[in-house]
Amino acid sequence: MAVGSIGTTVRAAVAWRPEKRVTGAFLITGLIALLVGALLGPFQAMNYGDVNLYRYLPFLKSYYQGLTLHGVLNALVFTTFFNCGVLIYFPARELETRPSIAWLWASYGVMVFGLVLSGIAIWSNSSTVMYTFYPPLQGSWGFYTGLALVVVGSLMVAFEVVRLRARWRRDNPGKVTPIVTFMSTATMLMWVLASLGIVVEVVVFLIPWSAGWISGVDPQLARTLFWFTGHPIVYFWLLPAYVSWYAFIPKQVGGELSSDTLARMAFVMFMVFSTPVGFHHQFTDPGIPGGWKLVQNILTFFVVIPSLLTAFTVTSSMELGARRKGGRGVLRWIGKLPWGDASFTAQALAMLSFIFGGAGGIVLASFNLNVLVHNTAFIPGHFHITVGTAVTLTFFGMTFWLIPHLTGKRLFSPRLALWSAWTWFVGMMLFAVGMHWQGLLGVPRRAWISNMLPSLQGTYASAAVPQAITMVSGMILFLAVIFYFTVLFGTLFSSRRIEEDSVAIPFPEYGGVHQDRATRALDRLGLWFAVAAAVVCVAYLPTLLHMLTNQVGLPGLRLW
Amino acid sequence: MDESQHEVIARWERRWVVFGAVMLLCFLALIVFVLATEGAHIVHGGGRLTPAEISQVPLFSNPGATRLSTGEFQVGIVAQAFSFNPSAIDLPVGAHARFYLTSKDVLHGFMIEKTNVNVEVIPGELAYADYVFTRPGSYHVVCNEYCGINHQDMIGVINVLPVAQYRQKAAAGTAAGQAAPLQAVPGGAEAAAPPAGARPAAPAADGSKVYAASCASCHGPDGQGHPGAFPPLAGHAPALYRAGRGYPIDVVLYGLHGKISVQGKSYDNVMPGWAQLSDADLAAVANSIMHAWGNDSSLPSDYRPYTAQDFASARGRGLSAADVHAERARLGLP
Repeated sequence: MAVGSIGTTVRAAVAWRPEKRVTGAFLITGLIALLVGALLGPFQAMNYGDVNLYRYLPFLKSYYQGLTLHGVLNALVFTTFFNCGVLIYFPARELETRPSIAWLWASYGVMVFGLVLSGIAIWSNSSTVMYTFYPPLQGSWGFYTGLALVVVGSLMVAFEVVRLRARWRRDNPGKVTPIVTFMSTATMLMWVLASLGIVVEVVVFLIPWSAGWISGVDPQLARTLFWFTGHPIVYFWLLPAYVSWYAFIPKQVGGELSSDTLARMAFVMFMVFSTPVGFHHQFTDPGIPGGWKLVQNILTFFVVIPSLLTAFTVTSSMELGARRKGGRGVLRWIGKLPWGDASFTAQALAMLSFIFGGAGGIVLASFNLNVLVHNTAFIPGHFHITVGTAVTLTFFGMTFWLIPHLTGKRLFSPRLALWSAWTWFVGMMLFAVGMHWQGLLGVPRRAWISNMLPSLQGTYASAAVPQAITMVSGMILFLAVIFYFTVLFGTLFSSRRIEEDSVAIPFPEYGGVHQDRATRALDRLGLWFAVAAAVVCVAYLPTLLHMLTNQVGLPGLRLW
Repeated sequence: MDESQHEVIARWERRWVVFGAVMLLCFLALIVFVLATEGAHIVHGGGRLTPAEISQVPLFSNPGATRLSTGEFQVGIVAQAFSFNPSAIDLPVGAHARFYLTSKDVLHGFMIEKTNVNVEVIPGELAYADYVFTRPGSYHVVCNEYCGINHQDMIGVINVLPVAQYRQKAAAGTAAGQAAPLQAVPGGAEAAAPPAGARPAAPAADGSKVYAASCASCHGPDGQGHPGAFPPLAGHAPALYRAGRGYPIDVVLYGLHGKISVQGKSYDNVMPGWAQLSDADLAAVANSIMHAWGNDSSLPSDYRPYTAQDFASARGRGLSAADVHAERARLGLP
């Protein structure tokens, strides 16, 4: 399919500089947030090795303040900035059509302002409420307002992505949306629907409550609104990684996407089934009827299917590439994959971690298995190999080509980049072993267990072995952070320029796009958005309406 | 990719999707089967219950274990920062226990280690979950939802005792965490354990033990409090006594909510009331605090230790934590 022949074609690489600059700003800001958050990570890991290093951090009042900073910066800020950067840039380049640069800078400005507001609130210890901020624990208005602005900025970018695709469709009637644009738009539309919960929670309830305009907030309602967004947000983090796995990895390994249609189907399924699943974070909540919990349990299992599809399609695409390079045997072809390429290796390891992360996710989504590990150390063990590795390590892998592409600087030490990928992978896998294991032994999550009352020491004595593993993982991850950010800053501050656009975006070959009926049906994203909204209404409305009409407003408390 | 490769991939893809779907269906069938046959341990909602109403519900105003006429145990537990009330509970092996839970302040967790009991304790909600203890032993009860600076210290214990030993303790009135039988909840009153009937005179209370169990999680094992969150008692408690002998009694019974200043530092927080403790325990802990950490050196010459009678006569006035804050202001305390 000839994509180059579009109305607003921009051909010369140099002409993309404005897009590159704003995308770079999103990425670098997100990565700096990650750096600050990740540097606190080893302190968290040490705590779960029963070693309290927080006493040596005079600028933080407690483990809990550090954990709030770690969670907000890594899970909310880093991911959202990174996603906004790539999900507008790739479609713009694929469609060769120009987004509104001013609008993107405005979005960026809103998000940075929000980040600063929230950052000040957390730093001053006024909002040590974790990134889940369940009321009645009450942070300052700046904390909630800042987070709301980060979401608002991301929705502004989503608007621009949708607009870009609409404009392209108007100019190209009858054509199927190119795959990267399709995936990016589906992801953003999913986020628009999913973010509704947190927007209502924060804007209608938490900001007025923290500012003193309303006296009470219902904790069960707030928690339910939070998890309305809280689960699909993990797909908002994950899907840009899937874009890279589906669209870029096949090219990077010298293969091709084995099925374009299935890739699109996976994204449509994510759009429809990502949101009506939040109750699986609330299986142990008293205020939600068991029947609706089971319904959302089933819907959560539906959303496993697109990830299973992804596992197959991505792996077969890589196998195609390896066999083209002479790979043989049932598994020996794996050796022909480009393991010397840090960008590929980081993402392949990320995929590997997601096999375990996904399996653990099925455990957590099961009504009656969940109860064994709910709110234990199992949970952070789980999400450090999903968002912490599958997503983050994929983003690392993307930056190994994307940062040189955007900045025109040569990647600083590809060898160190490779080291950073492996140490991150090994560290996170060990961390996951330690934390899952501790969780099975009943160690709670988010607990300053290295600072317990003398009379309580030894409560978790049975977890000594996994605690030691967690501690070692923290040290390895500290090295990984140093390695990765040395590569990143080494590249950014390097004086070794490369030729403009000599690192090209590894877009897939378009020969594979079938203009068949299935692909056309999948391309009706507006329709699928309506289906998603309908499924969400069925799964949520009865419970939410009951909660909204039976509220118990409670005043805020500060207990830290 | 040539056609034969494409066909091979498409064939395996279909098999893979079928495999995945069958796997998930099996999982779902198992989940439904287990819920239907052994799902009693899952969390149930018991309706709404605001923190203000907790004291009006016998299950929670007189928390602890009660043996019902059916032989089952009903266990009322109030979660509050940073302890469970009661925090230690004795139960006999084989006890069918139904745990009723609510929170006085913020979200808490209630997880009994080595069991399926794991409840999100939400203020405004009443939750219950069932469990049958088949093995004797000591089970930690862990708060697994972040609730504030001393979240990690919110640990209770359930001691599952051999039946004979439990009966003996219950008869002697020394079993931990039992609801007072005279105020037992409706329906269980006439047959409630312990069989001996009314609770015998409590043994002499040990104030430092009560302190460690109920106060230390906020005010610290050494009475130093937590800067910015919870005020110290070391070097401060005698000043409260001098301002008004009845004031510490009211704080302990009814709690305190509002902005205060202690030794030049300001605090804006909430302390829950501890009316659920016995008068003897409250008097013992008050005296223990007045004498600990060098406090005794600054007590006035006419200091009179607290008695259980002091606390008994201060009960029943229905003060709120904010009323106590107003009383504090009237006494001229910052």
